[in-house]
Amino acid sequence: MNLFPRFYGARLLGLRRFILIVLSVTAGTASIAFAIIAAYDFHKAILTTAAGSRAHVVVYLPTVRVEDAVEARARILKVAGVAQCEPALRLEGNFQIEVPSRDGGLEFADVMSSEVVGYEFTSSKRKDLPVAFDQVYSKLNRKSSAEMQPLDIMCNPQAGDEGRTIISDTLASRIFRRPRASGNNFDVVLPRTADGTGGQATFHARTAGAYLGNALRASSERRYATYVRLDELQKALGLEGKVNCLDVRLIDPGDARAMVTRIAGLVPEAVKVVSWMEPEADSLGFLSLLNFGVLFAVAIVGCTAAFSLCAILFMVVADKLKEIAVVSALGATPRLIQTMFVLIGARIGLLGAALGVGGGIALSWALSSRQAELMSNFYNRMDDSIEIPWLYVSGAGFGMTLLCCLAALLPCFWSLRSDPTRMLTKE
Amino acid sequence: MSDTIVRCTGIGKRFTTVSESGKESNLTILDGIDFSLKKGDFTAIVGSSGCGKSTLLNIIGMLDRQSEGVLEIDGTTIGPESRNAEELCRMRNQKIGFVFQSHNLLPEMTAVQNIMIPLLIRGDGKKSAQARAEELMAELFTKEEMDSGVCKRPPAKLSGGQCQRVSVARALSCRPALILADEPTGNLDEKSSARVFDMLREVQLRHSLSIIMVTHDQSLVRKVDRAVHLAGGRLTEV
Ligand SMILES: Nc1ncnc2c1ncn2[C@@H]1O[C@H](COP(=O)(O)OP(=O)(O)OP(=O)(O)O)[C@@H](O)[C@H]1O
Ligand SMILES: [Mg+2]
Repeated sequence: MNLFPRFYGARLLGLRRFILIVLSVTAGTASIAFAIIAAYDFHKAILTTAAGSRAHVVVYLPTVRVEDAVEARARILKVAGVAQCEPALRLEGNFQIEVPSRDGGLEFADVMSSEVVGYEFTSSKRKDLPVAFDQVYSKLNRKSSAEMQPLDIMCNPQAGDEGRTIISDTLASRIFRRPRASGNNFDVVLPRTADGTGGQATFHARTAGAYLGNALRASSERRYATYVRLDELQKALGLEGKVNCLDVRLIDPGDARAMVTRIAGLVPEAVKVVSWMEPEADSLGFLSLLNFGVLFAVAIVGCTAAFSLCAILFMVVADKLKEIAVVSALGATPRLIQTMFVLIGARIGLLGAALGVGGGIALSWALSSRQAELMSNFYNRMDDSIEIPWLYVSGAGFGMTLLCCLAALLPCFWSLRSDPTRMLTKE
Repeated sequence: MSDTIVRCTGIGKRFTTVSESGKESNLTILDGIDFSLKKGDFTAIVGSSGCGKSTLLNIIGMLDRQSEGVLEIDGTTIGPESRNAEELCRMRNQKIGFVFQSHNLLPEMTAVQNIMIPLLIRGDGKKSAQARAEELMAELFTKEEMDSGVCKRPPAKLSGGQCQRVSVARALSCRPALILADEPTGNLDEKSSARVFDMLREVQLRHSLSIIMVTHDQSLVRKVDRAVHLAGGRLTEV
């Protein structure tokens, strides 16, 4: 191995220039790496948050006895990426109760229900709420299982501790006749404010289905939850021992669309398999658009970094034409000189890309640790940890290194073509 | 084995220039140069400015290519069409040492590192290259200079004469048979000029080198073995 390229390559630029160029590569790589991580991690976080505690894929069976759903369940559980698959009773739909607050107290305004439930109720009196629940409940009970429709309950009070208690107790005792039952179906998610007392926020209650046993766990620290067991729900709905669907939870909720196709292949054709993403198609579409925008920005940052890097290296090499002429007069072959510039580019690229990837990761960590602070009012706070898409991030680092080698090599080709004798006589 | 190190036969060099009116014209700088240099000879080339001395030297040094004629360096023939760049580079590295008017030392490197460059290009190891460079420094610099740390200084921190001596050392590093010096003393005052020349003469005699030196300095011309005069594209003995 000829030592010349390494020996001279390490000294040609001078330390100050070298550091400056490495820093510019670092900055470019860091912003690209950061944007990639942010786009990926936020996308994931948004998807996970949006998917929430609901089933990611629902397999709608005819209302059957639990035992009859066991075989299908076993088959679905074997699919890679499936975390859970539980027989459930699913009552989905649009039943909305909005409960605004005035003067710190609770007042009940609207209780609306969709046509599916066939119930409409409007009152502004607190004592009317239990009545409303009773009526909804009896309506539900009267429906035949074949007509059973999805049900959502959303409440928007300005919740204080009092509001929380009333609503959760009311929901639990009126609908399911059992306060804070254990087991997993009906959870009430309350926000936590900075001082931990609640306050102005959103109160969510959602029945997404009834899981058997231990499907979900809610964090008591961040959420306020109340549960009902499947058998309670079955009893309440007059469907003892029966389920009407399989609730599937996936390891990656973002996979849901692809998984629908796989799972649909495992069950009879008539059975409807639905991904959680379908009702959310609009918001998810916006999310993809946003993501595309971020990637577009990454591309622009990448191009900017690439061009300025090429410009810098071009100028640096142009500044070294005389030195190139001197070493070629001393007998350095074009190949040795090219090797030297590739080495210079590789040295800059590797160091800059490594620092840049590290910097990008550090930046995203810094941001995600601020996340908790920024989102203290958010009812469902995201996970503080970040997930790094190593493939893309290291791809960006590798690309940057390659770019540095090329950017150093190109002006070298150009300089080797110019006449060395002219440069040698220059002062 | 021939005792001729350089043989030029009918070497010509033409430049095509484009005048302001857009006309192309051929400018003949060298016109059928026949010249040979014996091993161990110190020859000076003189001539007025712009007569083509540097051009001739660059052709002999294979930095430039002749338009016509044949050049023979130490038994290897190089015609106008010779295109084997790798081979020419290797010959330049191992058979020829250059000393330029402006020293052309690499500014980012110390004196010793500058001398190491041709050796590293040849493929030597770092240790042996450094040993050789230090040996040459010791040969061309006084003890006081060495003690003041000239070896470790970059060219910017050396005097003009010291730089030129480092560049002589660099030219000698690969033990070439031929030294081509283009006005090596052109930028120096009388005293350092004499010193650099004496040193060139000394190493030339000691290592029986062949040297072609371009110079305008008549006092130096008197001290060499042979002087040739370039005018009108032709060489005449002085
Ligand atoms: N690339 C070129 N294109 C056109 N003309 C050139 C080119 N290179 C050199 N010349 C011309 O060739 C002539 C010889 O140049 P050269 O440098 O060999 O002169 P010189 O004898 O070394 O002069 P000096 O003593 O001033 O160094 C000059 O007139 C110069 O203008
Ligand atoms: Mg000249």
